[in-house]
Amino acid sequence: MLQPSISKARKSLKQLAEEYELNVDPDALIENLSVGHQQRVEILKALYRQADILILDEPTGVLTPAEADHLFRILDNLRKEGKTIILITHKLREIMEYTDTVSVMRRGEMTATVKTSETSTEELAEMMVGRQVLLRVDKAPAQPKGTVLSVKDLRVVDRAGIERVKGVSFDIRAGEIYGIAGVAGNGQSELMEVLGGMRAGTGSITMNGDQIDLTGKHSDGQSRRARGIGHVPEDRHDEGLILDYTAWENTIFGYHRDEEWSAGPLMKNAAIIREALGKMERFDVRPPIPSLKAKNFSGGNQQKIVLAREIEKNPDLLLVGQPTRGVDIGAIEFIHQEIIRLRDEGKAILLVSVELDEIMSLSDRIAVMFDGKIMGERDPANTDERELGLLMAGIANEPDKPDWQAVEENLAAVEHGEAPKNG
Amino acid sequence: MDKMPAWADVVLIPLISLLLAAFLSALVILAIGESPVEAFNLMVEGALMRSSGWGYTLYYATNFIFTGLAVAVAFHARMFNIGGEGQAMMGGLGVALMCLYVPWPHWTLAMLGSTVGAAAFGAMWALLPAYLQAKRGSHIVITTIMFNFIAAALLNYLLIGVLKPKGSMEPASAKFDPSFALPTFQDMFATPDNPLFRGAPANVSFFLALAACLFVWLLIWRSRLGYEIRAYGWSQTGAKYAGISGTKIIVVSMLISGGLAGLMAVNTTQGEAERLILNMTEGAGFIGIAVALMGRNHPLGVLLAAILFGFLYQGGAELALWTNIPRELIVVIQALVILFTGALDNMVRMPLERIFLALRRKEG
Repeated sequence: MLQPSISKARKSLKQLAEEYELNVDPDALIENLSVGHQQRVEILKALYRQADILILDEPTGVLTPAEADHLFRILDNLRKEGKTIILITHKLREIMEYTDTVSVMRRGEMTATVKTSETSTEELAEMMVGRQVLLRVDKAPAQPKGTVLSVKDLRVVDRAGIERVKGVSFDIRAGEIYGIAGVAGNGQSELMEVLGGMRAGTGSITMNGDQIDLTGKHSDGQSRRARGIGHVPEDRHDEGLILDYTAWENTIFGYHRDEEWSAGPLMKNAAIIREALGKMERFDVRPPIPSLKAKNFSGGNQQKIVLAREIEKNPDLLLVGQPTRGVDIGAIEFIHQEIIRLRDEGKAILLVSVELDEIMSLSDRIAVMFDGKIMGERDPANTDERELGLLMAGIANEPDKPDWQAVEENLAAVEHGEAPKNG
Repeated sequence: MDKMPAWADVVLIPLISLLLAAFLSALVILAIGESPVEAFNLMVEGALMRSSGWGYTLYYATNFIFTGLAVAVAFHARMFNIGGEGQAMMGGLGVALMCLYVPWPHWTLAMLGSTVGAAAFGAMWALLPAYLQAKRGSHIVITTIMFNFIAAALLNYLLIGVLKPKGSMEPASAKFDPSFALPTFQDMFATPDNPLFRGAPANVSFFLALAACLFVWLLIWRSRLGYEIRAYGWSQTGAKYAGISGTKIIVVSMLISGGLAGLMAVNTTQGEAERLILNMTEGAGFIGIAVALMGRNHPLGVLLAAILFGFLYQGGAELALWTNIPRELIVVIQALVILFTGALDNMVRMPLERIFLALRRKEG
């Protein structure tokens, strides 16, 4: 009974998909599609229901650059058709390249609405935070010294028995920032967790020449800290901070067993509060009230609390995961400067970020992770977004078809547990 | 910002909940044809207006402080220890063994010994559930409640066999040496001209309970271990990040919790019964949950809530003695208090939060 209407729907879906270059097969199962593909199904769904307004909330967060480009080409076609598109994004570049009008929201209010052609990224950034912001990161060339961290053939198998990190090897030297780019979920988090002592792995890791434990009771966060590894975790809400703890309690989190803060089994709360106040002033945490709970600070200020704690401990190696996720543009500037300052003091820094811009502007060497492996290392001066974007989908050579298609085939293959088709 | 000031959370909400519970209780008393005003007067008269009434109230409160603290400590690690009943029974066994088989020269030493025995046995009874939770993921609520039954059965077995003196028909241990008897409030505070606390069972272990409150406060808010317990309670992944061992926190906080629950046996077994009896916990293990809930897991709150519940216990006994209101009704009133302060917390909290938000907006 439903047959006629189903075939009718299929026909019009196919037509729509073709018309807008969505490249969606109506009969494919959603679980078999890559994230970028799934997103296009969502768009198709909206078109099928004859939507005139399309709202996209951070649509490129989990896409490789090639997929993002493809998405924006589709959106461009829709705009030409007379559809209205509302794009919510934190990436100023997307705003400048693809939009006609831009509004800035700050603290729940629309602070400005301007024509995109009549504004600039600098002006937008200023409207977002209310002061001038330095968008470029200024840094001197790295002067790397001896090897601090050496990872060899690291493998991580998760609880479900799936291999998340498949034999990763790299070295980081003192005084350099080693950036790992990649779409979220390609093993970067697991790599960081092993280094930070939150997860077991196999392989060999040496820190300042000493072998470190990857399993057992000497592989926890305390042992890592004792070896001079600081860790700014990817998830500050659940890991880096205890949100219900006050700011001062958070400024020693992880280092709370240090002699400095101990008086027998008790803690020197007064001394910790003094220290917290100093850290908050030095890192410009607002408001600088140590007794305020961590959950009452904005994302940027929360991240500054974490950074103050980890950087001021002066670690030999600092692990930094997604340092600017959910952080306002003004705080991003500050956070980037602090990371570079630590590098210039001769410390080794491992930076993991899904923001390609961030990786490219901060790193002294860039590795790209895809499907649990490092696809290659590049010098940021001699690479571009397209090359890194293709590496993020496991494509090292020039593809023989449009970029986005090659990328999508590889991602879908990995999703199915097969080998990527395009090398 | 927080939605309302701390004092409102700590004082206003329990107070309103309590008034609501009292109001409903009044309706129930009306419904069975008695006067609620008279009943309330009788409860206050019996529990608070005479020193002997206070002696009973504080005796019950002592039990509730220990079991309430036990629940509170475990709760800071986000574990719901509802095995206070069983842990207290084992604590009783510890007290009995200490008092029956060790020839202490003085009651102070006997008290020290039974305190150690009670805490050790209570902690031991919490160890296995804690281990199972930490290593095998068996839920602490299930295991601790099962351990209550095991403890009751064990006590039964011991009291009709091993510990029962020859020739006795009663399921109870032999009387402890009279020199081990703990000084009651009457012994301590009454003078020939001013006979205070006559016949009341409150004894020196009330001060042990106060010391336990101080201990728990120091532990949770001033010590490194307490910092780790609370951190683990708020976020397990956070604890992992900081290198805090979950296994250690679960086991240690449950040991402390079980030890505190066990300590109530010093009050009931050595302080009052002076022998080990079957119903030595008097249900205090479960009341402890309500006490911790109402006391917001803070030692001071637990202390106040324990005194309130002590008042309800003692006032209830008075009601049953002097009126036609059955003792069971007191259970209803207690249940209402628990219902309003614990389960229906949000019913009072949410409107109150809205009021405070509105007030703040008006100011700003």
